[in-house]
Formats: sequence, structure tokens, C-alpha cells
Amino acid sequence: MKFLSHSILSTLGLLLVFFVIVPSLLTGFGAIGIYQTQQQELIRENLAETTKGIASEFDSYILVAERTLSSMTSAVDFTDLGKANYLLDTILDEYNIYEEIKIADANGIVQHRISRNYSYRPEEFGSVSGEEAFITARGGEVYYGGLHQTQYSNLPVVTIAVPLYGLQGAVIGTALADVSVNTLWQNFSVSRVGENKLAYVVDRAGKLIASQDTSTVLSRNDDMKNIEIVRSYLVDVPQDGTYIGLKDEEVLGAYSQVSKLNWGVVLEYPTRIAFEQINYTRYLVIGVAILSACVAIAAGLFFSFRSIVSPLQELERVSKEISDGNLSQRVSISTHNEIGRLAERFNEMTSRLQEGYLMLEQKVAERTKELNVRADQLERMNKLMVGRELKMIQLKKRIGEPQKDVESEKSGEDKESV
Amino acid sequence: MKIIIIGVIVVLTFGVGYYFLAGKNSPATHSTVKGEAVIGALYPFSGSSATAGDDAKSGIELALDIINSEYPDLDLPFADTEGLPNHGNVPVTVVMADHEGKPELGADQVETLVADGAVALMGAYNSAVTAAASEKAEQLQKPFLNPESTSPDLTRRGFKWFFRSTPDDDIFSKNFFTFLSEIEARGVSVPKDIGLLYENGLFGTGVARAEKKYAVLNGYSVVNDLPYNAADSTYQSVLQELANGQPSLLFQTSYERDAISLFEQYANYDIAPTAIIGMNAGFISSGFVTAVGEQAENVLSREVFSLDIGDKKPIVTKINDLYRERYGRDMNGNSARAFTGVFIMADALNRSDSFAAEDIHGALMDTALTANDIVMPWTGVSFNEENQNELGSGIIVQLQNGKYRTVWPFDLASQDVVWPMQGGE
Repeated sequence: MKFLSHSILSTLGLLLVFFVIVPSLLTGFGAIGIYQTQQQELIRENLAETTKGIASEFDSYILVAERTLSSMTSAVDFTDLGKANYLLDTILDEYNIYEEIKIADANGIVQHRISRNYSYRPEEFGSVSGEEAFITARGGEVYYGGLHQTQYSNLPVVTIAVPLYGLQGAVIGTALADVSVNTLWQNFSVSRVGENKLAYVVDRAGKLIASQDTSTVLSRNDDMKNIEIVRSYLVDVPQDGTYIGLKDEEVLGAYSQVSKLNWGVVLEYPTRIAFEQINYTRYLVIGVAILSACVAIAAGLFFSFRSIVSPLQELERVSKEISDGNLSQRVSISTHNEIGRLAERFNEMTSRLQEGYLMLEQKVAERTKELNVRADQLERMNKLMVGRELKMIQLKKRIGEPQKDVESEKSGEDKESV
Repeated sequence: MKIIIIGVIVVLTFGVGYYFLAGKNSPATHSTVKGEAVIGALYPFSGSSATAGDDAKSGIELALDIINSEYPDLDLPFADTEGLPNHGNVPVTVVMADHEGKPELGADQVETLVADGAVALMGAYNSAVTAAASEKAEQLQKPFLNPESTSPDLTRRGFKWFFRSTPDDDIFSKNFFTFLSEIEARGVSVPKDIGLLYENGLFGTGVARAEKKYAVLNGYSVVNDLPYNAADSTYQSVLQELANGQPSLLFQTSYERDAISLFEQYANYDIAPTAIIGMNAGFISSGFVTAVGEQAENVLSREVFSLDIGDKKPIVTKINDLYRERYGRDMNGNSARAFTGVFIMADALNRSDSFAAEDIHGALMDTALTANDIVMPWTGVSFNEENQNELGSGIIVQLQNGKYRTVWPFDLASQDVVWPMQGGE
């Protein structure tokens, strides 16, 4: 605070900082905070809607995979190997979601087996009688299996099994297909997921099943439960706020359930992109506020300097001159404010002081002159008086000599008498 | 005091400016750090497809020599400069690894090559190895160019980092039936019973599926559908089934060793179809022609390259002259595609802002080589949304007098088709 007492300009500067910039920033930040919260909420709602849409379409695709498998394989004539193989080949060719298809009879003996990556010979067809997929489909229900990898490629697939019905309506066999999750996922283009957003699927064990980014699926074998939103999905608690997402950056996220497979679709949106516009607005508002405040301070200080500090400095300078005796100095301030009027009074005061001084000097001169005349007179008087005095002294001296002689004689007589 | 206040204002102004500008997302700057242009190449230098690997290696070495040295007489990219001109003429280096035809080893080799500094990868001839190796490259996020594996499914996996320059087997299979229709239209009698004999891996399986599809669509019947394990020692069971079926047209998809072994045994099983149509691979390897050239006389094969296209494309002859001078044999489809693969990679590396994977990937996506930039009979190289070269096309060649000659398309043909393959018509 000692600083405040040294200079009006610094006082004004600090006052402007504290009473212009700080309130401006506080107000700006407050307004932006409210705006950001609203925008976040809008983005989150949008993410949730998109995620629901993706999950719903994922369900539809699984349904299509199931229905296609069911309808196409029910048309297979098991007795004609060539036609059956051709039909299965056609399915693989036309529907790239299937990696492998097996047709098993009612006993689980595989009659046809066709794969995208390997050509099975009949002796390699094998049996599925002990497999849960076969048992479920044999019982007349559709089976949706968990995620696994194909034998001849490492790409992720899920097994779907459907019952095949004979003319009498009885289950005469089953069709089992490995459905490529990766291929399914390719159907979710950027336009559906959204630019710069990352969508991925996790199963109930928290394992990453599919993503737009295949390399992530291939390289992430770790437990996905370390990602906040996956934990939220597993306990079915909505995700609020931001978290570190699959790509190790801060994101906003939402999840939705793929009901047929009991998977969760997660959609993540990096905050650096989601908030880009908000941040831009924030930086713009803050920038403009601070720049305006700076300009205001600069202008305030400039005009304060011109209209207050500079005149006061002029007053200070002239006062010093005057105090040194230079009464001819005048303050040259042309403003019409209080300081201008103060300067006029100061100049008037100085003029009067100067006039008074001059008059005083004149009087002193007159008095001095009078004194000088008196002094001359006195001098003359003095000289006259001194001359008389000297004459008196001489007279006294003359008068005193005979007396001395008398006393001297008298003194000699006294000594003799001792 | 005035100085302090002016200082405060200046600091505030700069602070605001910095805060304001730093707040905006500045565009990512490309790394301009130059490094070594090292490409990792995976091929089978041992095992049943070793000759194909050797051919690829020779093609790669010649391509590197042209790129890294000056060949002013050649009208090819990089021929009149040394190295990559956009990167201070840094030379392109290829580090080769032998995958022995084993997918797992191929995937491991990718890891090793990347650890050793490969900025991109190419290979791997065998479709199954290409699938495994490119999957590893996808995982490691490194560009992988495949110049010669033709399984259609390879580019249907939705991989970001996998690129293929050769056309796929679906196109080639379709070409076979177009070829048969066209010779039939010229008065040749074409039988309608087909036998399919193919190795049972990704390559053969994909080809057979396409061939079956086009056979049915074109009114042919498949009398034999015979997958076999290329690692078998004798192939007796499929040979016996083939002998029993006696198809008039045999569509065969084999690698080199199995192709040779099967051809050597056809006579023993009285297998003598009207025509054998091979799906490239083992059929066009120099080892096959050397080993069973006489028995295989007039065999047809789908190809992507043939020396006789040099009549219409002189650069092919010039490059083959250099190749023969260096290796004592002619270029074939394997060496030509590997040769072209190196040029595609060099072109991408040269245009890439840096040798970082994302930059190379972006450059590969923007590839726009023309027919004049390559020795292949394609209209150029440009990758579509599946990272498949959409400007590639196939030809059909026939082994005549120990050399493959282009017989289809007819406008590129240097010889007439010999039909049936034993001669006669």
C-alpha cells in the first residue's frame, strides 16, 4: 500500500486492475462456465442418442445375420453336395459378415462346412453334437455365442446357431455361423458414428470386441474395466463428466446396450474436439475482455496522466521554482477542470504574491532611501557632534592640566608624611 | 513508476495474446525429421515357395538399384536421380526376412523388422502369411504393401494400414470365363465340365469360391472340387479323385512345390484335360517352368505380367534386359510385382512429409502412378476405399516353347492360344 501513496498514476492503474479487469474476468468466466455446462450437456445428450442408434442398428445387423442364415440354409439340399456347396459359397460371397458356416444334421454331424479362410474336406467336417450352440438350436432356439477367434485367422467372431426345420415342422438340423464382428463393425461408418468420435463394443466381461480402429482391437487384450465408462456400463450407472478414454485422452462418453448379444456400445468424443468451439468462444471472450481492460487501463492512465498527473507535475515544478524565488513562473495548464481552475488560482496567487513582493521591494527601496537620507543627516550630525565632542575633550584636557599639577604636588606631600 | 506501469500493460497485453492464441488448436505440424527410408520385406526364401521368394528378392534389388542410382536412359520415376529427391536423396533400403511360408513366422518377422527400424513393410507372397503379417502390421500401425497376394478377402478386412497393388482373384477368375467365352466365340470348342484343384489355405479357398461362382454363372458344371493341403507329400487322394472325375477343364491353384509335384504325377494318373488353367502363383515361378516346363507345355495361367508386352511397352524390355544381365534369367510376374511394389513404396516415401507411419499412410492413399510409371500392364496405381489398387488388371498367358506368352486379352496378345493344350485344334 506504500506504493499507492507514491503516485496517483500507479494508484489509478491498480484501481483499474482491481475494479475493471478482475470483475470483467470473473463475470466472463462465470458466463462461460454456464455456457460450457450447457454445451456439455447438449453434447452428452447427442452422444447418448447416437449410441442408442448404433446399438439398435447393431441389434438389427445381428438379427439380419440370424435371419439370413436361417432362410438361406433352410434352402440347402443336403443330398446334393455340389449345389449345397455352391449355395454356401454364395452366402459367403454375398454376405461378408460370415466367416464360416456349418450345417449339422439332427445328430450334430456336420454335413457341410465352408470357411472364408480354409477349404475343409469332408473328413475334416467333424461333429458339433456336444456344443452349446448346437444343443440350443437343436432345441428350437436361436443361439448367440460369446466372442472368439477363427481357427485360421485371428479376427474376432461370434457364433450364431439357428434351427433348421423339416417339412413336418420338426428340427432336422442346425446351421452354425461364425459372424465376423469386424465386418459388422465396418458398417458403422464415420458418417453414422460421427466425425472424430470413436465407437467400440465391449462384452459383459469388459473385453474389447470391436472398434472402428481395427488396430486397437488387435492390440488391446487388456481388461477394459480400467476405463471409467466400461465400469459404468458393467454396473449400469450413467457416466457423467469426462474421463480418460480408449485412446488415452480425455473424452466425453456414452454407452448403450446391444440387447441380443448383451454387449455395450461405447461412443467417445475427445474433449479437445468436443469443446473446441466452446474453448474458442471462451478464449475469444476472455481475450477480448482482457484486451478491452488493457486498453481501458492504458487509455485511463493516458488520460489521467494528461489531465491530472501532468498538470500536477507542472504545478509541482512551478511551485518549486516559486519557492526558489522565481515568482515570474506561471503554470501553463489550459484544461477547464478542477486542476485547470486550481492552476488559474495558483497563477493568480503567484501574480499577487509577485505583486506584493514587488510592492514590498518598492517600499523597502523607499524606506531605504529615506533611511539613507537620515543616515546622511545622522552622519553629518554625527560628524558635527563628534567635532564638538573632540573640542570638548580638548577643552577638558586643557582644563584638566593645571588640576593635575595641583594634585601631583599634593600627592608628593602625602608620601613624605608616611 | 511509469516504466513499471507500462511494463505491466505490455506484459498483460502479451499475456492475453499468448493465452488467446495458445487456446486455439493450432494445426499439427508435420515432422520434417529425415530418417532412413527402410522398408521391411517378407518373402519365402526357404520352404516350398522359395523360388518365388527369390524372384521377388531379385525384383526388389533391381528396383532399389534404379531408385538409388542414376539410370538416365530409363523412363521410370527416380531413374534420373539418386535416392528420394524430396528427402535429400536419402537412399531407400530394403531389409528382407524369410517367413518360410509360415504365417506365425511372418507375423513375428513383422515385429522384428519394425523393431529394427522398418518404416513400412511389403510382402508376403503367400496369402495366408500376408494375412497374418498384415494383421501384425495393423496392430503395430505400420503401412503394409502387398504386391502379389490375391485372396479377395485380404482387402475386405477393413484394415487401415494394408494396401494391395495386384488385382484380386475374383477379377482373375472372372477373366478366365471371359477368356473361355471369347475363344468359344472364335470357334473353339470349350467343354463345360470343370475340375477345381486348389490348395486349401486362404489363397486357394478364395480363388475356388470365385471360380465356382463364375462357373455356375457361365453355365459350367464343377465335377471335381478338390482342396488339398499344400504341405502334403504326395497328394495321392486328390490325384485319384481327379483321375476318377476326369474334368475337361482343370482350374488349378497351387504354389510352386505342389504345382510341380502335381504336374509330375498327372501322367501317372492319366490326367490329361483339354486345358489346365492355373491361377498364377506356382505356375509362373521360374522353378515351375524349369522343373516341369515340358509336361506343362501350353498350360494357361492368369498373369499380371509378361515379357512380350514389351512389344507395346518398351520399358518392360529395357528392365528385363537389366534383370537378365544381373540374374541370368527373365523377369516373371513375381519379380515384376515386387519390383513395382518397391517403386510404389518409394513414390509414397518420397511424397510423404516424413517417414512417420501416418504420413506414409497418407502418401499411399494419395498414390496416383500412371501406366508409364510402372512395368506392369496396368493403367496405373491408385488405391480405393478398401486400399485395393483399382487400376490393376490381369492377362492370360500360355506356356509355349518353354516361355509364357500373352494370349489374352487379344489386343495385348503376342501369340494365338494353343487349344487343346495337347495341341490339335
